[in-house]
Amino acid sequence: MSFASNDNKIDEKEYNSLVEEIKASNDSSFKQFVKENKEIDNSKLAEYLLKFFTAKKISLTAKDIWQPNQAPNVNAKFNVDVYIENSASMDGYVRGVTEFETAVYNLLGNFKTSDFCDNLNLNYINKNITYTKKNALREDIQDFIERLEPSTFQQRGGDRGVSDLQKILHTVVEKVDDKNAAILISDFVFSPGKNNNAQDYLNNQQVGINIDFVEKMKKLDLSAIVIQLQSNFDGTYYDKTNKPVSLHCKRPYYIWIFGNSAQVKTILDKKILDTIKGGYLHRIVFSPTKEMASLEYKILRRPRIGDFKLEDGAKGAITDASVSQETATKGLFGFSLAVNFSNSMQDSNYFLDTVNYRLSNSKYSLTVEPITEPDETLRGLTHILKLQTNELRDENLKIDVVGKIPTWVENSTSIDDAAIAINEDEKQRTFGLKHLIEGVSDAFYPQSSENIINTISISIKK
Amino acid sequence: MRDFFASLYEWFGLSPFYSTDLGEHLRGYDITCSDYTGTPWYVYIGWIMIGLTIFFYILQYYIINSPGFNKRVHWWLTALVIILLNFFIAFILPWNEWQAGDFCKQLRITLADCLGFAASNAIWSFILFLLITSFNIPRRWAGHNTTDTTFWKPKS
Repeated sequence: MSFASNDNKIDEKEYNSLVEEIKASNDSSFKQFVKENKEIDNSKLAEYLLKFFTAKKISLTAKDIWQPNQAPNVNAKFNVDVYIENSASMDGYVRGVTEFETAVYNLLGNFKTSDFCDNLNLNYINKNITYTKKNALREDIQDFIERLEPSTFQQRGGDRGVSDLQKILHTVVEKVDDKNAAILISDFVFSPGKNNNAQDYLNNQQVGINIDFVEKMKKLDLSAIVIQLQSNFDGTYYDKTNKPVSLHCKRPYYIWIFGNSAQVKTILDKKILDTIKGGYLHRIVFSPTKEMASLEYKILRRPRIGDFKLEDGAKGAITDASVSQETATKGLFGFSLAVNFSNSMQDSNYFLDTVNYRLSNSKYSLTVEPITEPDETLRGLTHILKLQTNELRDENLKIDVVGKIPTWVENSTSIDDAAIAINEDEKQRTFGLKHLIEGVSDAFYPQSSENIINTISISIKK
Repeated sequence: MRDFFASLYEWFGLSPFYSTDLGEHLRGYDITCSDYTGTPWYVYIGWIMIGLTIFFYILQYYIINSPGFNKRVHWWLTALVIILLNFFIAFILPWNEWQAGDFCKQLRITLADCLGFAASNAIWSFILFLLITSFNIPRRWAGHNTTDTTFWKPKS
């Protein structure tokens, strides 16, 4: 019962451990779950567990019990609706041949040739959807890209004067369901206009975006990917007061992908984004924290500070732990974990940032390194987590990876773009980005919740 | 068995003569540094130590079993052969694996560790020989030649 009572679910590890216990047990009451071929009847067991927990008043549904053949239906095809924002501030990304055009062409090609994309639909959007090309063929995509020019943007019309990002996001996300994923491509620069207080405008947009996402998440198992890319920009930038500023420089832009969790996972697994020509700068993935998966990890014998044993192997408990007696590290205890985060939806860099971790014992400090050297003993593992403390004690050390906004968002955010013409750093930033991301992030990772994406628990005994 | 020999050679956790890393290797920590699925050297070397000691006990007390080989010096000679052989075996097996690189690379094994483990094995073989030659019954079954050939009162 302890399996489910801590998190109201039975994950793969817990389920398998239960199955092993049943197989090993001679208890006659367990015989009902064992088939003639000595294998466990998973459906019977799941049915019994459901009844058992209901009787024990533990809130748990069939979906919360991991089953061996319960893999998400990642082979299901779905439509991909692509929206390119064509407000006036986007003209600079499409003048001549730009990295923006190459990346978008590459992205559309990747989707079109993928085995999961049913129909690829191309759209322009500003306040409303101003143009749609349903079920685009290969030649339609080529034509779409070749026509990516300021004149076409103007021709597609709509209200190109302002970017009401909340409205755009609302329109796009509203169309996402189990048969339709969506891609939104924009510079995501807010346009408060000269008559609005910029800060109030950003706050209002953030709240509006948050409400839209929370509402959508009530109806759909929504996930989202945001990637930041960079392109040459040659055109007019409109600052927070809508003052036009002529820029000829590199500017960031963003591709957002919305879908249900299975669709988003498929897109990530098929590495559609990783193969965009020129790559992308950063990535965030927002997914419901209930999707928490068990992590593959191993405790390393080295690097370490002090000494310990691994009597149950690299995935077992640390025993006979003792602090270091060496002069440089006297009194310290430290160990390292190699972890596989490659199955996570988050960008690999996300796991390098220690602010995204929460330790059950604050006396431990954490550093994280990527595994770059080829090492047979670390095959299939992606990051090394090094933990160190000066207060060694018997405990179960919990290492939680928490869902939060990565630091690059803060670094890429502009709070005042009035001086963009003369400030080189400002040219690499996006006005109001933090408010936009926070609006979405608060829907997925409410500040009132723990928002644990992954967790590892290590038993340490002296 | 692995835990029994491990605690024996590690002197019940008090003060092993070698590093924890060699201890993990001797327990059978595998080359992928994941679990104890490698060669369980503690068990192998432990049984070899017991077998060799019993063999030399049988050799001296039952096979040679001679009034010409039952003096204090003969007891010590047999003990010395047992000690040296067990030292050599416990040294050479982990040493060879270390030289061949056939162990988990996260472990740091040194020459001093191999010598320390060899010393542990040699000491335990001596203790075992001392014990089995101390018991009256099996010794007496061999006849009168070696009745008094023990650590405690060997014929001088």
